[in-house]
Amino acid sequence: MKKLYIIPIFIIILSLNYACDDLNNFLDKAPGVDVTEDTIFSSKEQVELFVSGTYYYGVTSDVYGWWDDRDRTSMNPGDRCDEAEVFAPWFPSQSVWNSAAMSPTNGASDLAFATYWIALRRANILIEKIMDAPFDNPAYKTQVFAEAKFIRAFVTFTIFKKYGGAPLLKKRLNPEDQLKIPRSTVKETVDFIVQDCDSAIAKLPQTYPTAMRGRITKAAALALKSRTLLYAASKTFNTATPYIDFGEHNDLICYGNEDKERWNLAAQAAKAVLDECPAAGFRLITEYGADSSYRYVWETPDNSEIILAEKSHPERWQGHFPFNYFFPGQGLFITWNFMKEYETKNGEAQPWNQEGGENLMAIYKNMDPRFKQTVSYHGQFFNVDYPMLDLTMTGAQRPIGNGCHSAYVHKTLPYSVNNSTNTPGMPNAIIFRVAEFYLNYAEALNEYNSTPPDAAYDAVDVVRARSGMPALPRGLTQSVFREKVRNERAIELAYEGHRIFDILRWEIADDGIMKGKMYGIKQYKITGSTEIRYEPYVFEVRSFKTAMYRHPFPQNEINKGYLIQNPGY
Amino acid sequence: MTIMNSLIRGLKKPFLWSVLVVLTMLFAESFPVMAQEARETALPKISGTVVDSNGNPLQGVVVKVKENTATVTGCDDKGKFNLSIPNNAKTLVFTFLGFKDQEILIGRNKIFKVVLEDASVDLEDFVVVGYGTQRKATLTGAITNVGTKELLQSSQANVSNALVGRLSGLLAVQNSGEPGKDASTLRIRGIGTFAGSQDPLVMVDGVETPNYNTIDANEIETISILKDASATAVYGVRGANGVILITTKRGTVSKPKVSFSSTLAITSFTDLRKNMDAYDWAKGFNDALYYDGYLTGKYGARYTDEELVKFRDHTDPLFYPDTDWYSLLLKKNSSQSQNNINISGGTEKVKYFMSLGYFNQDGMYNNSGMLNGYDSQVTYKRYNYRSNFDFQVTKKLSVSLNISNQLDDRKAPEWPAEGLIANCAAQTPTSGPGIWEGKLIENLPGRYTFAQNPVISLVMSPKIQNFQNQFNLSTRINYKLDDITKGLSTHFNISYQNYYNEYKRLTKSGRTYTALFDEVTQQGVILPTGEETTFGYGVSYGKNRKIYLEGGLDYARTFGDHSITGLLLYNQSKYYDPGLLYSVPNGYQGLVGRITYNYQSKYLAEFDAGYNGTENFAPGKRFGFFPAYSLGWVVTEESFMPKNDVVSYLKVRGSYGEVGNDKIGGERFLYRPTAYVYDATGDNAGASLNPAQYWGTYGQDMTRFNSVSEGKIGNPNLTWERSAKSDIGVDIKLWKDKISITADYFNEHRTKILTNQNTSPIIVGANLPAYNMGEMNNHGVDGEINFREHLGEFNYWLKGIFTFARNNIIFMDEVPQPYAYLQRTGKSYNQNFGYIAEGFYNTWEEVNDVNRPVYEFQNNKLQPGDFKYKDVNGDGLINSFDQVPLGYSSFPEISYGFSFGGDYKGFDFSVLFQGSSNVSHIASKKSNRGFQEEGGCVSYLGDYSWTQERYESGADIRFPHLSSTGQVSNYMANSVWIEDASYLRLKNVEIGYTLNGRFLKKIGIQSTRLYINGTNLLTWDHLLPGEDPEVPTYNDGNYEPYPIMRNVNFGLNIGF
Repeated sequence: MKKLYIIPIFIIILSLNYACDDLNNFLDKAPGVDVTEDTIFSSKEQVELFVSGTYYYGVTSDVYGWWDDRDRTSMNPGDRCDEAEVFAPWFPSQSVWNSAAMSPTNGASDLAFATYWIALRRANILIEKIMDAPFDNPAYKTQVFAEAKFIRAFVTFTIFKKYGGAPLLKKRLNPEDQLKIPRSTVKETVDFIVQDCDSAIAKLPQTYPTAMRGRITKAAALALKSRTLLYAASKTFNTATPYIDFGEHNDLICYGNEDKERWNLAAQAAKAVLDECPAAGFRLITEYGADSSYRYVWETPDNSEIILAEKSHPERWQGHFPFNYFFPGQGLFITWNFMKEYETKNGEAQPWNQEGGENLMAIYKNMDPRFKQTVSYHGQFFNVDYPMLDLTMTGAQRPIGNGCHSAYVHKTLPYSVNNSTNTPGMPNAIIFRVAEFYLNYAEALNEYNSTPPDAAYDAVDVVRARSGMPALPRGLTQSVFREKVRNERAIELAYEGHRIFDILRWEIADDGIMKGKMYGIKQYKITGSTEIRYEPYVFEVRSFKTAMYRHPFPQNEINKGYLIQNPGY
Repeated sequence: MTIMNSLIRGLKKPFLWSVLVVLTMLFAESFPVMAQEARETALPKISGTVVDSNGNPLQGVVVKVKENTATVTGCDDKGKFNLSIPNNAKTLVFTFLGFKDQEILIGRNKIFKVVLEDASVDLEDFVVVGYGTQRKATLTGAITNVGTKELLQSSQANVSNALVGRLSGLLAVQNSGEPGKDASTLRIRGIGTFAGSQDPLVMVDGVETPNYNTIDANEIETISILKDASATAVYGVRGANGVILITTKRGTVSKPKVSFSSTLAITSFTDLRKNMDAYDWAKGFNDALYYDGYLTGKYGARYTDEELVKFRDHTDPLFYPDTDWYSLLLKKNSSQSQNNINISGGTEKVKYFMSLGYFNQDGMYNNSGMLNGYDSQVTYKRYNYRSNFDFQVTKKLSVSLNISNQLDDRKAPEWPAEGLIANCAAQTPTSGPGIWEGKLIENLPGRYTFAQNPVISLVMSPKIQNFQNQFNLSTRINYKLDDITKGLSTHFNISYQNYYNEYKRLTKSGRTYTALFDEVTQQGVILPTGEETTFGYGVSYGKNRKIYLEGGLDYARTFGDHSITGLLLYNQSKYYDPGLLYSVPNGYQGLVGRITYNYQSKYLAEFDAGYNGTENFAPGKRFGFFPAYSLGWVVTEESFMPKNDVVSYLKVRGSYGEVGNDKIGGERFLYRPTAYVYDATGDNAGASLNPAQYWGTYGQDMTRFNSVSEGKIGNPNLTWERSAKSDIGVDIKLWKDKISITADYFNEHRTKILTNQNTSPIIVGANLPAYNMGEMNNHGVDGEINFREHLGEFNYWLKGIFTFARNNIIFMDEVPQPYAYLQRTGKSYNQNFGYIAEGFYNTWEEVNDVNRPVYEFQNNKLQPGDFKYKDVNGDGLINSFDQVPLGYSSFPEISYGFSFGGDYKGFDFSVLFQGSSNVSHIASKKSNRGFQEEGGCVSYLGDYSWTQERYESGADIRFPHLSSTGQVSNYMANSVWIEDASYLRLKNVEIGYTLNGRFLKKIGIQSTRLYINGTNLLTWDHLLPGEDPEVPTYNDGNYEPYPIMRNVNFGLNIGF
């Protein structure tokens, strides 16, 4: 019996041997780092994965604002200016803009703020690494280098148009670096963007095979340069007296002087885009006629008018297109204020009556053909579920809840999308299309010259003619032409994310545009007639404060002590 | 440290292990001989036998002379002892674990026959500590425990709830009363860290068991909680949040004892909200629209006077209904039952305890049976099995085998209960009749309301059947190495745990109807809208397993006045779960050491250490050494303290030590260099997208291009979070031990808390690593007082427990705020912040006063009936800079319990009051505003909200004017909505009667006890009606808590 202690000792030694077998690496089972930066830059296939993600963060359009980590519901879809009203009062874009709630502590002011820096970091990694990557494909490397430069410029432009002078990220920041990079001036910011554009223009291919549609071309870089210089020349930046005097920091929100030559640069840059387009295969779509070409452009992805679009969307179903989920009754509604911007087919002002009238259908019928290609109004087709809308006050599809009585904005939602046949649609998230550059060119030429030159008229007329609108009368003064070209921009580029930033750069956030009474029209049937009586009414009184000409940086970043907040916040 | 490091390196070699074990034994062999020789003198000899109450000899009983504790011996395997006693010897003391101590006067006797009484009913002299047991009298750590009797009194579904109010140092919050989901969140001595896990480590019979909640309380002998560093250091890496030790019952030497118990409880909600009826609601909604009109610029009453009359008169219950959704969805009462049968007993060779339990709990849904063959009720069933065997193979070798299984089966609608309850709150009484002639009616057309008919939600929701099984097998071998040196033994433990989970999901939609008004017949028509669908079925599985190994040497020996115990132990565990990151199992490895010393049970000292490793840290940072030191002084053992009946026992003790926490942030392998992560490769059908591009031409050659992203940047220096704990305690017994008091002051300082680099600018654009730089303090007091007395045959007792723990964040890399009071650093973890409401704006004069502060929200548009907020920083603006710390966090700082009870002849009773304070809840959306998205409204808002008339009549106004939009200004966290959630609750009352009749004996029944008890019977608090102080609110408006239950319980215990 005495020797029985051998048993437990044996068991213990045995099991400790078992345990010790993997004792050396018992705690060392963490997998090796399989995918490092070196892996990514080891081959074209791996780099392509990184480029794809860099586009996802960096090449974005404001047309659709989905709730992913680049949440752009604070920018879209027109409800933060006179273009529209969304049925949902809480929707971030209108809840912060229309009640002037933009503030450094209101996170909804710019929901995508964090993703700009992710995009810039990715672009900088590509710029830093690609040329020395250990695989042999110089043409591809040069292309990626130029794409990264474009993305860096494009994201910096997005920050610039919202905030003014931005912290310029010229290289990837590592934890041990000086991370607190202050804002640069407006001039430095614009120069940085233009420099990156020029570098990209020199290296980017003119075209790609169709299977690579969506990659950044030389024309896209020229387009970015044009838009940047147009913004830089605009009143809000190209001035000695900014919207709010910011003293010694004026150069963070404007140039600090007014220089007409900036308009010249803008005009040249727009011209360069138009010159590049034919060779690159980009052109205005006209072949579907005045009543359909405009709609074709916004509805059909990858058409020839599109220079660059956001390509991070697969097909989507109705519920995933913003604002149409609760249809009928709830969606996106055009304001009467914006309806009035549409001319008659003859290029004249519409006979709207502030007191209302019994001729709504007649007015609609005589509208600029783009109106019908943009909205679905009373009696119109919405989709197969609602082939004929009844938007009168007793109609089944009239807005309920918090909408505005008027017409549904259809632009950006393909007409084929519906619930009953469960048909998806492809979002067409345009970033640059040819029409914009005619208008950029016209605007810049008009501002640079004391009277609009012929080339300016021609540029606007090309765009109008595509939709069957008559040419502008010649001999307009600079200021009348300015109004015409601004109106043309509002109509042609409606709901594509331009209007709000045009309003801000022109500094025209006046009554009826960004503040004051916003109107809808109540519609009533007239017994024994197909006409509809309309009655304008105030659906909302909106607010705007001058500080909102620039976005506020988030308070949390201000508290870290490296950024100067924009004035008025 | 370097010694430990080289030691552990050595230990990695199997050969060295073997040598070490053998060498230790050889070395130990030599020195007991010397000790024994020193005591060889010619003194009177006595001898005797020690047996248990059944006459079985007891081996290992310690026999010593009270007057000279150095004179000590143990009983052999026949229970025999021989002892030479000194001249001053008068009393013999017999001690043995599991038995009551016994003192016998020596007198002239030479031969003794001693019967030791089984102490299984009264293990109070001993406490379970980490890897062993210790005598309470010589304990230096802060430990408290609770026994089976009190646990069973609470008639709770799970172990954590039964502990509430029973243990000092323990703080608990229960999140729901839903069957199968009603466990409490436990914190030992409050919250010590702001990152990662705050949960205590739970060990069942020496093996870590996170899902201890499903153990049948009938199986539990005792639960100890280890609070200070001295008690927890042996758990090294995982002890920082405190440790809960659960010990299950084991057999003793006796005839088979069968115990059967059965309880049946009637359950009901402690409290439930009450919503407005249809008339009040419709009228209130019109009022709300009126006030909103000022902001939106438009006003039109939604309901006409005729409609209001119809809602009030109930003349048209189909189209003008008045539905109480709560009573439609929920029952008044439900039931719960628990049955257990166990058998225990044994001989010297084999002891056994076997238990079989069944627990059944039904939910509170009004199960309308709308869907054939389908039950929407929540039910929770649990089957528990446990068998604990102890084999005495030889005198020296004993083996224990524990097998247990917990199987639970939960059926519930997939819609979370919190969502259904929120639906009842959100639904308006006017939105529809709910059920009409047995048919589920959808919301009436045109009666827009935010929520679905909750009964439809319940019936339509997929049903889930969640079956879980937890199997545990553990074997322990003890071997006495007295041959090598006396008092030395070794043990080895291997345990295997296996968890299996099956999640079935049944889908079937029932038929719903809509009610339309037929203009022609002027009557309502009920038309079907949705067809009953066929069954859909899906099932998913989960599983994991854990293997734990432990081997150690134990030593206990007394040399004259000196008692020494020692412990050296190696353990490792590996946890396998396919859900773990990279599917890499989770491993721990550790060495544990403990030395205790006491001199005459008067001066006590203990040293504990854990040396532990985890794969979460880089090699080199992986192992942490965690020492703890403690000292104790039993003052009453001193000669200068005369023996007296007033202070019968007084011990002062203190400890200091360090403990670790590796559960930092929930992520693993953070030390590795930055890895790139391939993004999800599928299309995301939802509203959000995964990074990817769809290059190519749509309709022709468009393809998805997947993406890769830079992962979190690595932090190679990642290491342990460390907790330095100190504790000063005192144990006092007064008046012949009738009163016992334990009180402790504790202070805990956590450093190296894993903290995000919050002050790094966002423009870096990277996922920056967290660093071990956070710092937090936690301190407080806890204590317990017990009193026992009897008046004739009436025995009674009183008990009070108290816990106070306050934490304070010292550093968390917080971004500097413009005003110091906005800073979260320096405050408690999760401190509430809000605006100070100084009453209301009552008149337009006040609103239009140019000197009033400008509200940055709501475009500064205020009206009478809005909260008047204090401009704290005096800048003339009300904005987020005016938020100040208000109240406390939602986790209480103070918890106390007060209980008393007694027995007289066959009757017994007990009462437990329990309470918490220094705790705040934020009123939820459903409780502080009505009409949201045209939803329902609680009735008290109608009674106490601001209106012009009520203001003018000087009525009691507590809430702002009604609103249907939830305008931001009035519903931000403020001093009105941050409520004091202190409470006192009559937690438990029990009355029992024990039958001991001859008749029962005749049919073989030893004892029968009948009892009735109640849980959560009465509550005193300051919250809004319908809120339970134990259940924190949801700040998300889509959920409302499933209130906790009041149980009235009838029970029966029979012993055979």
